[in-house]
Amino acid sequence: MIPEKIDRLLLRTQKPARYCGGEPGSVIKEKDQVDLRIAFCFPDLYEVGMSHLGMKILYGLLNNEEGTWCERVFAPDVDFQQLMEENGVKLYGLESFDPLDQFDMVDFTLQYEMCYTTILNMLRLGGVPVRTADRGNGWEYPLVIGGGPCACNPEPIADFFDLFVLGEGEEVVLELNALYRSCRREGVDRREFLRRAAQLGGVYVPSFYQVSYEEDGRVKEVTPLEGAPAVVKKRIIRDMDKVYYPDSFVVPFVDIVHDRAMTEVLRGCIRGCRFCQAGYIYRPLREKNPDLISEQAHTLCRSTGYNEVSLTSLSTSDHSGLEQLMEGMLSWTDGERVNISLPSLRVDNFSPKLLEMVQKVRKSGLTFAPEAGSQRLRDAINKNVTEDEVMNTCRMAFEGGYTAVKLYFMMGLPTETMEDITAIITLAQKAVDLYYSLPTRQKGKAVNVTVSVACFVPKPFTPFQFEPQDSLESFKEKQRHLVHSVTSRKIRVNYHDAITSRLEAVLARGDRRLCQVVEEVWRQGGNLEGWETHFDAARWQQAMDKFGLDMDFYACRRRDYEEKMPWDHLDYGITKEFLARENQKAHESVAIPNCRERCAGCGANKLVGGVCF
Amino acid sequence: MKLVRIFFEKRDRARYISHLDITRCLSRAFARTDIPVWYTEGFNPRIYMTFALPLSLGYESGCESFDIKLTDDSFPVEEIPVRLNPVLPEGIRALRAGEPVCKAEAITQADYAIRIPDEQPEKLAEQFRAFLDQPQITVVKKTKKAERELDLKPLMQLRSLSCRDGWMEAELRLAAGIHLNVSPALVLEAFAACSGRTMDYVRVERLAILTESGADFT
Repeated sequence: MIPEKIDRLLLRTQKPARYCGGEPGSVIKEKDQVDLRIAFCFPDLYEVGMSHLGMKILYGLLNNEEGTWCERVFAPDVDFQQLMEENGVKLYGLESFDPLDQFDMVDFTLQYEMCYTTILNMLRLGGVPVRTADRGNGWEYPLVIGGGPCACNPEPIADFFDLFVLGEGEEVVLELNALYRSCRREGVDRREFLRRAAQLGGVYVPSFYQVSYEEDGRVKEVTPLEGAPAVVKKRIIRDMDKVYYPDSFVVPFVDIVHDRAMTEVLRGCIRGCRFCQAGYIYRPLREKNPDLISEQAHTLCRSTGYNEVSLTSLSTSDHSGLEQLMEGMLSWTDGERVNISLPSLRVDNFSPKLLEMVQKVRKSGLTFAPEAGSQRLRDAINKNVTEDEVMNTCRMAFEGGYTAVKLYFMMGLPTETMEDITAIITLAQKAVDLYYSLPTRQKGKAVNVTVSVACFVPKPFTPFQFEPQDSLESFKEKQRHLVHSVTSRKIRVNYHDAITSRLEAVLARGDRRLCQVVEEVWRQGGNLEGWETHFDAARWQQAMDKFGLDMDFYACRRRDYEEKMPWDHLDYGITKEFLARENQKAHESVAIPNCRERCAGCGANKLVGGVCF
Repeated sequence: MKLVRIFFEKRDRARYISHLDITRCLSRAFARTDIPVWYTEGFNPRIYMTFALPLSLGYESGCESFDIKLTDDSFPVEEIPVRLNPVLPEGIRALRAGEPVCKAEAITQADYAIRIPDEQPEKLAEQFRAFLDQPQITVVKKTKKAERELDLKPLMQLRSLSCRDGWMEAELRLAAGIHLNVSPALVLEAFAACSGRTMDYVRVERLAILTESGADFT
């Protein structure tokens, strides 16, 4: 039952079903039967957060543990937040309606930098002091824990979190639970708990690290305190066939971004695209058995009633048993009216047989990501895709009846010139020409090639972590050039304002001094900034100015290979030497083979006992 | 192929599930059972499902219904609530299933209970009665296409009015169905305008869906 105080507000909000819980698959436990309560927070709206697979996995895993009750918390939309504040309603867990400050742990998943202000907003709405230092040494307030991709450089939000979990969470969260229980039983204080937690592998307690800076603002030294390890190593699941996977999802009432069942096909990626952080921080590649994937997908579809299941991973077509997997899936999906969706396919291994199998279930637009227009630049970023391969894939798609193709690119990539920008349109034009050259095309149907161009953001733990981001002026000029290069009305160009990418670049490689900036932006009203309508660049500029910090220092500065990065005390298995080597190769426009063909010696093999394949 | 009408209730927090979302929610519930429900043909097959009289967001009801088709005529319809209820979300419960008797077009009226919290419910009831006693109650009814003026007076009938524990409760019979549908929201809007009160929190429950003769829609 919804408490009346909340119930009274819901009909005055847009889509109240986002705030009332009770969805099939949500887990309700008796409060007197549990001794550990966790609020799993996604710092964005319900529709976005509920689409996130990691949350579904950890929700299932934690609730699977006896005595633990994990609930979901999302950021309220602006209208509901206002009502909550006016009526003294604190941000609550959707299962119990209890406010955040009554939980033992408040876990945030950190998916993108622009959610940082939303985190502070959610903490404050939930009655939890935003700064770790203000939460005391007792147990009055919950532990605030962060995890997910942005935890690989959590320095810009280090002051707000008691601890971060690095890498994959399935094992370490349960270890943390056990430690928490024993510490509370023993009656130790918060600091002692954190001291012990820091000894668990993969747990980073930021308050135990003292950071000093050079006069020019670069990090000078990071000193561990309280016996915390000098380097914290990420956690990894070695065997994907043995790891927990939920047999049921919370099925939302409202339409969400990805409203379908999802199975995880593999973790990691063999490709080593030099711009892609996920391609490095999740290394090495670990596949799940095709039969197990199919079985888990089947179980999920039966328990949720979803009629669509997606095979998710960083690069699903890199699964060595994909055809076996698809055959296994199609043996039951057809009869049960379930569609298979295959995101993240690569253009170079999209076989006719695979296309045929995908077509059996769904016909919509096709999306490919060549990332760069010219071969030279594709080599520099190690996107091992040739123009022939892109064209071959387009041909297969067109011959298979598709008339719309989406091509994803980036601009502002290291070593990029204006010719590389022109080449984006040249490539798109070739796809248009190809369509009209095919005798098999459907008469009277026009082709549509959509070109989406994102602004490149250099990220930690990639070979481009040393690189400056393009200036705003440069991005603007390139965008103008791109639009002017368009040669056909069949080509549609999409791009975004570069300012968001600039801030992402500041935060992605930021240091601890940015914590005060994040807090200031939030205090000035920053919230839900992943949404263009809520984002205000001026607010960030003012906050940077207030604390005497310079965006260019973070975004547009080239780093030496020897420079101490703010995240150098975090270890994701990838050596800095490897990243520097790869950076050099990028400047020579030299691509390297994928992990399966030849080991590039990144260091991640040590995480799984020495051999990846 | 057999046409089946399923009656269900929508209570408590399930009232926050919109009509569109209810359709999806019920479809998924069927997919979680082995009830031999018929899917539409075509490229994106979906469960054939039609609702007699959609319920507005926020309203409770004990008399909702929708029709489905079964592919297996021998499937016992009384099994449907038994199999559906364990997979339905809290607040939604299938009450019974059977062969449809009336056509949806036969619906002409519906009964609603409107409950408004107030520190002095008796005073509110007085106001409500005065509101109903007006010779004409003109409202503007918005449809997708246009707005038009409508006199509510002949389209509604007060069946009871009571007060207790800080709540005023009015039971109203309103015109309903595909020809002319008067939503309680329209009445509340007119009452708000007339009394100068804001209606921040009101509980509405649909009590019955009726045909011309005043008999329950079955």
